Amino acid sequence: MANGQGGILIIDDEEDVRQSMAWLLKSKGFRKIDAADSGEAGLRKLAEKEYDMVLLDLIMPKMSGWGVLEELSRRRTAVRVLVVSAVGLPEVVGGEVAKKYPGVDFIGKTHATDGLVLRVKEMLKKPAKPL
Amino acid sequence: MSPPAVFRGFAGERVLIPARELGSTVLRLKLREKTLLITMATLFLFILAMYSAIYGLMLQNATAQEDRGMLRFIREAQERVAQEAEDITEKAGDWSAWDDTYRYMEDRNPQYVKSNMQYTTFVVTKLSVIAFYDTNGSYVFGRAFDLDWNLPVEVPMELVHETRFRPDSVGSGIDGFLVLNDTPVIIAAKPVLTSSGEGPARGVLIMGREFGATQVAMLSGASGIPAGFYLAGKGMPADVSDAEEAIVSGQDQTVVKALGEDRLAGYFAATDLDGRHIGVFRMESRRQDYEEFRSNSLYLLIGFVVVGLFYIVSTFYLLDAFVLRRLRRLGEQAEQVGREGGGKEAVGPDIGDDEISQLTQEINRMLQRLAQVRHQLLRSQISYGRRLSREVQHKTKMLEAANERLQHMEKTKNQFLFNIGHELKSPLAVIEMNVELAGNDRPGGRQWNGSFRMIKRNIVVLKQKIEEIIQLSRFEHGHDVEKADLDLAGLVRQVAHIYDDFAKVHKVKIHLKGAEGKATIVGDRRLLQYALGNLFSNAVKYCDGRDISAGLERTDGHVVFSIENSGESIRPENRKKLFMKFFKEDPNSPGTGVGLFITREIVKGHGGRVWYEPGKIRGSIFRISLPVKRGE
Repeated sequence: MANGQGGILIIDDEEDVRQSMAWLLKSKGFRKIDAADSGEAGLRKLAEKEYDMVLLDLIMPKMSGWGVLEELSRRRTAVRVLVVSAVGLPEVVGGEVAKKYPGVDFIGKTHATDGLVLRVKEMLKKPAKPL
Repeated sequence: MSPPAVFRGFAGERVLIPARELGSTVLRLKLREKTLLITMATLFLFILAMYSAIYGLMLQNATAQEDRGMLRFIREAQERVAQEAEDITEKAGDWSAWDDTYRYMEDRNPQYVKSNMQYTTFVVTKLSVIAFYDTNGSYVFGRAFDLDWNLPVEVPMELVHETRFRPDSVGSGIDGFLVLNDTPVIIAAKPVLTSSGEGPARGVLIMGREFGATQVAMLSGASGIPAGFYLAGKGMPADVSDAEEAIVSGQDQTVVKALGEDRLAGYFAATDLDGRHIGVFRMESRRQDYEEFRSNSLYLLIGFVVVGLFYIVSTFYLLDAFVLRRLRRLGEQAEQVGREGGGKEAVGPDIGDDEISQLTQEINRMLQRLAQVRHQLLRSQISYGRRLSREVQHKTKMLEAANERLQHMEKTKNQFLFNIGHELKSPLAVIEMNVELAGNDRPGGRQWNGSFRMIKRNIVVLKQKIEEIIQLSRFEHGHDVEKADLDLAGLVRQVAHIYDDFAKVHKVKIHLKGAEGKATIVGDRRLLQYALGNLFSNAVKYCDGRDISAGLERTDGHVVFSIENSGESIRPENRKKLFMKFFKEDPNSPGTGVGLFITREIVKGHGGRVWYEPGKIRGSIFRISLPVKRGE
C-alpha cells in the first residue's frame, strides 16, 4: 500500500509528456511527482530513492523502456511499473510486456487522460513486487 | 478436272477413274515396277513398230510375188493361146499353100472336099472350122465341127457373111480371135497359094479352133490353175467386169486381183482380128504366197513376243542386278541411318564409279557433315547453356538484390508506419491531457495558460508530422510544387516565433539576425514553412542547453537561411547520410528519419540547395540557399 512517501516517477524523453502527466496527476491529488528524461536518468533515480510507482515510456533514445525493465529485473527491484506508451497496438505491446514482466501493467498514451489516474490508483493498491 | 479414264469393271459396269488418279498410282509404283512397266511399254512400242514395218514389207513382197506368179501364169496362158494360133496358122499354112487347094479355088472340085474335108480331118487337126474365101473375100465353102460333141455343125453365120478375108487384107497371113456364135474362135487366115508359095493368091483359107471350155481349161497348163473365159457383153461376175473395165480403159493389159484371202485372180483380155475387145480371161489360183505370208507373219509375231519376253526378263534382271538392287539397298541403308539417328553413320559400301556409287559417297559425305554440324550444334548448345546459366545466375543475383531492397523498403516502410504512429500519438496525448486540464481551470488561469501553450505547441508538432506524411507520399509520386511570390524573410520570422516556445521549453533562446525587411522569392509557402520548421525543430531538439542562432543572408541572386546550434555535431561519417530517407543517427530514437529528406526535396523543388556544416567549435549549421525572384 502506497504510503505516499515514495511518490510517482515519470520516465519519458518528451518534456511535454512529462509535464502534462505531472499536471494531471497533481490535479488528481497526487503530491509527489518526479520525472526523468531518459532511461539512464530514471534508473539512477530509482537506485537513489524508493518510489511508489514508475510511469515508463517505451520509445526513448539511447535506452528504451525495455532496457529499463530489463535492468530493474536484473536488480530485482521491487517497484510498481505502469508502461505508458504511444507505440503500436496496445493489445500487442501490452501482451508482450505482460508476457515478459507479469507484474508490469500497460496503458496506451492516448488513453492517458481518463484511464491513467484510474490505473495508477488501482495499481497503488497492490503490493510492489520485483519484476 | 482431268478427263476421266473409263474402264470396265469386273461386272462389265463402267468405272470412271480420273486420269490424275491413274497418274498418281503410276507415280507410287516402286522402281522395279516402274522399270518393268517402262521396259514393257518401250518393248511393246518397238515390237509394234518393227512388226508393222516388217509385216508391211512382207505383205508387199508376198503380193508382188503372187502378182508375178499370176502374171507368169497369164503369160503362159497367153503363150498357149499364141501357141494355138501358131499351131493353127501352121496348119492353115500347110493347106493354104497347096496346089490342091490352089486348084480347088479354081475349079471347086468336090474331090478336094471329099478327100480333105472329112470329119476325121477336123478331129485329127483339132479344128472347129475350115472355110474358103475367094479373091473378093466372099465365102466359098466351109465346114464346121464341134470338137466337144464330135459332131459336124453348121458353119457359123458370121463366117459366111464375113468379107474381110481377102488376099490383100490378109497379106501373108493373120490370126486372132473371132467371136462366132458367142464363142471365141482362134482363126488363122492364109492366102491360098501354090505349094511353092507362089501366087497370085486365089483366095483365103481360114482355119479356126473353138476356144471352148476345154481349150480354156487347157490354158491352165501344167500348173492346173483353173481358167475361164467371159465373153464381153454377156453376163460376167463382178470381179471380171471390174477387170474388164480396167483393161478396156487402157490402164493395164492384165489385172491381178485378190479375191478374198485364199484366191487370186488374173485377168487378161482377148481381142479379135480387128483388135476389138471380145472378152476376158480369168485365171484363179490359190494365194500361196499370201498364205505363206500369213503364217510367216504369225511366226514373226510369235518370234517377236518370245524374244521380247526374253528381252524383258533379261533386261529387267540385269537392271535389277546392276542398278536397282543397289539403289534399293542404298535406300534401305539410308532409311536405317535415319531411323537409328546416330548409330550407323554411313551407307554402303558401293563398289564402282557410276552415279549410284557417287550417290553413296555423297550421302556418306552428307552424313559426315551432319555429324559435324550436330557436334557443333551440341557445342554451341552447351556454350549457350553455360551462357544462359550465367545469365540466369546474374539475373537471379540481381533479382535477389532487388528483392532484398524491396524487403528492406518494406521493412523501412513498416518501420516508418510504426514510428509515425508514435510520432502522432504522443502530441495528441499531450493535447488530450491538456484540454482536460485547461477545462478544469478558468480561462486565463495558470493551469489554463500553461496547458494552452502546450496545446498550441503540440498542434504545431502534429502539423509537421502530418505534413511529413503528406510530403512523403507526394514525393513518391513526383508531385509539383505550387509556387507564388513569397517573402522569405517574413516566413523566417514567423517560424522563428513559433519555435520560440519550443526553445523556451528547452530553456534556450533563438537569436534571429538579418531577417528584417523583405526577401522575395517564388515558392510554396506551406512547403517552405515545413522545411524551415524542420530545421528549427532539429536545432532546438539537439541544442544541448545552448542558445540557437538563425538568420538570412543575401548574396548575388540568392538568399541563404542559416541556423546553428551548439549541441553535439553530426559525426563526420553521418554527414553525407543526413538527408537520406529514413536516416536516423540513433535508430532507436523516436522520429521517422524523413524530416531532412523531405526538407531537401522541397528545397530542390524550389531550385535551391540545403546542406550541413559543422559548427566552428562545436555544434551543427544547416543552410538553405534559394534563388530570389528575378528582377528583385
